[in-house]
Amino acid sequence: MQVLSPKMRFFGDISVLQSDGELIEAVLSGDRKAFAILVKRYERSVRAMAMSMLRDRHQAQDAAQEAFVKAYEKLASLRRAGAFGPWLLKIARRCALDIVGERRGQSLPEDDVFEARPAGLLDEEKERLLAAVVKLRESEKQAVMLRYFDGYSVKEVAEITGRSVGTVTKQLSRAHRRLRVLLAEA
Amino acid sequence: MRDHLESRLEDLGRALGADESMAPRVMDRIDKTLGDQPVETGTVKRKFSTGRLVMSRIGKLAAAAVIVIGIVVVYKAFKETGGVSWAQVRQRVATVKAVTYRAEVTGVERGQAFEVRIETIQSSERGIRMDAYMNDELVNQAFTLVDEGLFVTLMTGQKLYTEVALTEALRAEVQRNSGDPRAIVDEFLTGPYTELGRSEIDGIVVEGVESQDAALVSAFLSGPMGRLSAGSEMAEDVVARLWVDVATGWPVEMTLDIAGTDGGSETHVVVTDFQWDAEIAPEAFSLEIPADYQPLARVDLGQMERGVEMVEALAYFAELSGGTYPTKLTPADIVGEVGAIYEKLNAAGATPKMDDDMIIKLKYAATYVRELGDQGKDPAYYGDTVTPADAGKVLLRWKLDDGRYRIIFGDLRIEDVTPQRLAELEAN
Repeated sequence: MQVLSPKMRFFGDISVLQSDGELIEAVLSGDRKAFAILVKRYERSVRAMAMSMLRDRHQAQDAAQEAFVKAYEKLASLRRAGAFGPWLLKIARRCALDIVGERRGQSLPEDDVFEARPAGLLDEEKERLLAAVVKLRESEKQAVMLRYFDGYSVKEVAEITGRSVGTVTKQLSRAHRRLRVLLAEA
Repeated sequence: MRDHLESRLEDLGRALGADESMAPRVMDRIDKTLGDQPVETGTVKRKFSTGRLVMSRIGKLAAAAVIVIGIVVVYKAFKETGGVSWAQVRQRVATVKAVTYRAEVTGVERGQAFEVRIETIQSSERGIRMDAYMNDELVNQAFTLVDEGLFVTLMTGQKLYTEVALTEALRAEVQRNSGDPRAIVDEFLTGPYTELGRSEIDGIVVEGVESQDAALVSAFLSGPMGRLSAGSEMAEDVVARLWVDVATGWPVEMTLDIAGTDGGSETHVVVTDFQWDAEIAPEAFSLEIPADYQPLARVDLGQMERGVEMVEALAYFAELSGGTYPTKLTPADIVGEVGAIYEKLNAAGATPKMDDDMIIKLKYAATYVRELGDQGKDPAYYGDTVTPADAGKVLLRWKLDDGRYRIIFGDLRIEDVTPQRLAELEAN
């Protein structure tokens, strides 16, 4: 399968937006370059997830890189393309957790992730917001990150994730409500 | 109007910045690590399932579908993941003929918090029994009885019951699939999951996996009884976790978080106390409806299939509404429209008396139509434009197994016609 360049706002390469599923099928068909598009698509989201736990930009980059490599290695085990984003973010969480564990000299249960404070390189307000974003449900988190961190439109998020525009709209709406609650509690 | 929160999120995105070196570095590592090996090395390449999953109809007959989903997710997760021998776990569970478990269900439905405990017995030979408790008081019992071909719900507080007679085909399916873990494994062994690693539950070392699959839940709840019994339309977001005893390989706990599509409902389920391959006493499924219980509704799915009960239910609605049919034929719309009629009549000083039997029949009719859609039987409903006065217009139709269409006209006549005749009628 010939992979077209996706619409990538931060890389200036504007062409046809391909869904995660199409890209994954391309990778599984042997087109390794298609995975680079997925990396560019989710780079910021994955790094945000890692930063929220590690509070260290360089370690977050390492964790993100590790997560992408692991995702590539395990890609064939992913059965539903629409779940790629949440699945990838979980791998990123696990990779960041491993680094947290290395720091403490032990591995940690995943729930400990949420006790860690978010990235220290952001100002306090942004730290709080990022900490709230990573607590969202997986699908909401993916929609929020793609929409606001990576600047995709709702329609584009729908195309990427294979959901309907209505579903993405509702997920974002719910995410807003949850975020307001989480921020109020923080 | 732009939301301040949205601006803050965008600011955060900008602050995170882009790392343009990430993709080249990742691809470089992949190239160095894997060389020319294809991505599927060491694994089995699979085709993605992008459509709705075809689910066992046992799910559609579950009395409390959310709980059964939990079990399904348990089975679903029995894939080879390394660490715990998931293959062995799967094999062991596949031999189980009966299982009991307890579920604590909490959540919010239409703004109301709820908390229910459900104790379930699931037997491949006999069916499913679910006893629901609130504040330790038995409030509801639901029996799916394979031999009798019945789905019976007892509301103990009100001393009411509903009885749904299954079609022979449905009963045979229940008998074939009900509680048979092998069939469920075959049906549900799909979808992505992530490994959670090890943890400890009540002193037991466990290993877990997490699964999210809204399509699974949507499909699982799509049957005539499952969705009605669950009381909600669709679950959109699902996060399920399964924890298995590392030493024995048996599942010990499962948690399930479901968010409804309406944005206001959430359900959280914790399933524990599994007794795998439990001995089930025969009396557990010997249902005797107490003499002082009154029937709330009796539905015959065979008659629903023939259109007879659907006509009865639609006629009742038209009478109630003063000459219109439900605008949409979905359970949620039925409830909403009946509620609106009730409020309107009440506000006008009337004392409306609702026929619960008919309203429940209407809901089953709506669910049945949705089921027809799931089965590819091309149902169409025109209640938004067709009234009882439109004798010759098609109100509802669906395709029969022989290729003809069953039509319910505006005047509630039932007729089976060829596709050509249907096209003529609908052209009018």
